[in-house]
Amino acid sequence: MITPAEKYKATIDEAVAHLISRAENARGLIGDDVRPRIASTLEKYLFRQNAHAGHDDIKTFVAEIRADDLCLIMACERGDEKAWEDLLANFDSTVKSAARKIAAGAEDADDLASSIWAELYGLRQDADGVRKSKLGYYSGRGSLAGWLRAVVSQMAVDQFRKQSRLVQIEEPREFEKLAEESSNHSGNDHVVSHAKSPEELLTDKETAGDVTEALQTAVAALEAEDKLILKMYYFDDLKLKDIAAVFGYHEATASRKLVRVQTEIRRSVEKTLRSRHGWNDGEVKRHLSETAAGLGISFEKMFAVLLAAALVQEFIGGGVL
Amino acid sequence: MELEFDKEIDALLRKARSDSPAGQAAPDSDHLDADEISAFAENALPEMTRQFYTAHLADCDRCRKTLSSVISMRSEAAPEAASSGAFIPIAAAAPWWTKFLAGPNLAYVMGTLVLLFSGFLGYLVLQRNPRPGNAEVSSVYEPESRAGGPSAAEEPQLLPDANASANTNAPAAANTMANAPRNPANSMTTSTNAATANVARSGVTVGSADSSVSAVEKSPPTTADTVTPSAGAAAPRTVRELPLTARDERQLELANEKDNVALAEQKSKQTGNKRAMREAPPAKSALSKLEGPRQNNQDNAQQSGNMTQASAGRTVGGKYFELRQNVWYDSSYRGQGTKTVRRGTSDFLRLDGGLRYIVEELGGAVVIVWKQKAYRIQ
Repeated sequence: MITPAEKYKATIDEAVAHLISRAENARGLIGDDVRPRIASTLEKYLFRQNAHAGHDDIKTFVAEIRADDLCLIMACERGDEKAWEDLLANFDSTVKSAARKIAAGAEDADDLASSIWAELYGLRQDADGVRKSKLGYYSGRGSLAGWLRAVVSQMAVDQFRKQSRLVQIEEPREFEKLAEESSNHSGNDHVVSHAKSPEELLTDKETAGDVTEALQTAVAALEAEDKLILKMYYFDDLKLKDIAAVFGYHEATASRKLVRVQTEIRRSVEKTLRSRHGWNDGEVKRHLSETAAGLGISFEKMFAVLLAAALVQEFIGGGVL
Repeated sequence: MELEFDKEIDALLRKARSDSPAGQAAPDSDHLDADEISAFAENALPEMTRQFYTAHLADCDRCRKTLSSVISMRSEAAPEAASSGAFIPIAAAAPWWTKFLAGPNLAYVMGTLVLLFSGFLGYLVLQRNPRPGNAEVSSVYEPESRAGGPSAAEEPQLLPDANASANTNAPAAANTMANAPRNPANSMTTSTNAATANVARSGVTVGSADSSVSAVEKSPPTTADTVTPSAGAAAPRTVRELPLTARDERQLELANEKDNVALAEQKSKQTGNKRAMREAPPAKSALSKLEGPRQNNQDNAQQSGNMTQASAGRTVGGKYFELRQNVWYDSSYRGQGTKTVRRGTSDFLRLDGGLRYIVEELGGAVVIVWKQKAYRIQ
């Protein structure tokens, strides 16, 4: 079976030649050097998802590759000393800045940055003695600075996941568990309000649980893009402006999408509460309102536990991700 | 319908982030690598690939967290890069003169310069070429509306619309003078006064009582033909130039010559001077010539020159001159001391334009009284 790369060989060769000509500094690379990388990139990003990609799609795809960044990385792969000097000179600050945002302290940030450069240089070797470098994963579709930031983020996650059980993606859930546990201890009675009776508190807790469950069901049922936007906004605290830039539209569009998602979630939650728990409209609205208002109590617990968790984190010496 | 931000759902979702179940534990091989995440964060993927990655990121907390971290770092790095200028090319500071030329300042400055330069040029032109018969030269008498008004010695204005009346009254004035009484002085005065009265009614200007009866006013003189009226011993007159048509000039000359003829006849009668009689016919001949089509200035000068040799008197610019020993003498000259000025000298050029015109018209040596000063031009 002929692969798309073989099928469109001439088009790919032409696109590669044009890419090299676009680069201000091709660093001595020729078509044969670059062609394999372009072919794998095409396979990864174009042919895999679009079986009907044609000549124009290929030309457009290759034309959007950042020629200078790609040539720099490929020259570094080949051991070009000048290319390495340029890479360090231009992007060392990017790596260090990313490391400082992830790591807890300056020392950890420097260590992380050094690890990144070592990983990029390929200090490790595989079974065949071939130097393993992450440089080979750069396709040139995104910017080299963005790729380096992603490398730093992933490496930081890998490092901290190995170092500490607390440094996990599900950390907020851990915090919530700690908050629930601490609220049940007598020592933390000053944190939790005891205005209600135990029966009322239990009822409130079950109601909140039902609302939360309906909410999670509603979120899971969202379209992929809507779900991703919602999670990036509410779970990752990203700004609508940055979210909109990822998807290529205006901030106002992202805001409208978010409001539409909220409306859709409300409709879904109310429907679930009515159908699953038999609540009428009045009860649905009341319980939703009470659950939303009940955040004050939850926040009190959350803040207290967050402070305690921060101290624990400092003790362990891990970062938060 | 504009959707409003749902605060309750917003609060519930913020709470839900802590309660959200962990994403399905996908194998590491299914997670997105750094290149995919960075390309997704920069919206640098084909649409179909992008949709595939969106579906993964929506359910994979790990990859979504990495993506969010990359986005957060990029947004923070953008203003830093702008402030540091490390990766953003900064245009070289433009020199001050480019900013000066780039803005609208240049237009304002150039416009101002053009205006100033034009005004300066106009001033120079006016200074170099003063109009003949300017106000000081008094080529045209001022209108009666001016302060002070015309005195008895002053000559009333000749207005453009008074040409017809001037044409009518000038001969009448001449006839009046011709029929003046025997006493030359009285007759002249009487005739002059009568003529003055007549022309005053018509608006035609005539000579002063002390001077000859030469008509003085030229109705709308042309700029080239502006002549200076005779001020004589009278107070200096300020005049106003008026365009003079060819027909008007002809008529005025005709009137002047008729006056000259009448004067010459009177003199001949009084003194019995045959010379005066001999001078009269040339005036008549000159008169007949002038009644024809008007020649150009140069031809007129030649004719005047011919007339000069043949006649004892001539009226130019409202002043009467007599030729004596090849020198033209202003009738208002009383023997006072003269200032000698040679033609073509700077002193001559500084003289009033009206004076210079009369001198050029007469030619040769001229003794003229101008603004109570006697000049000898030669």
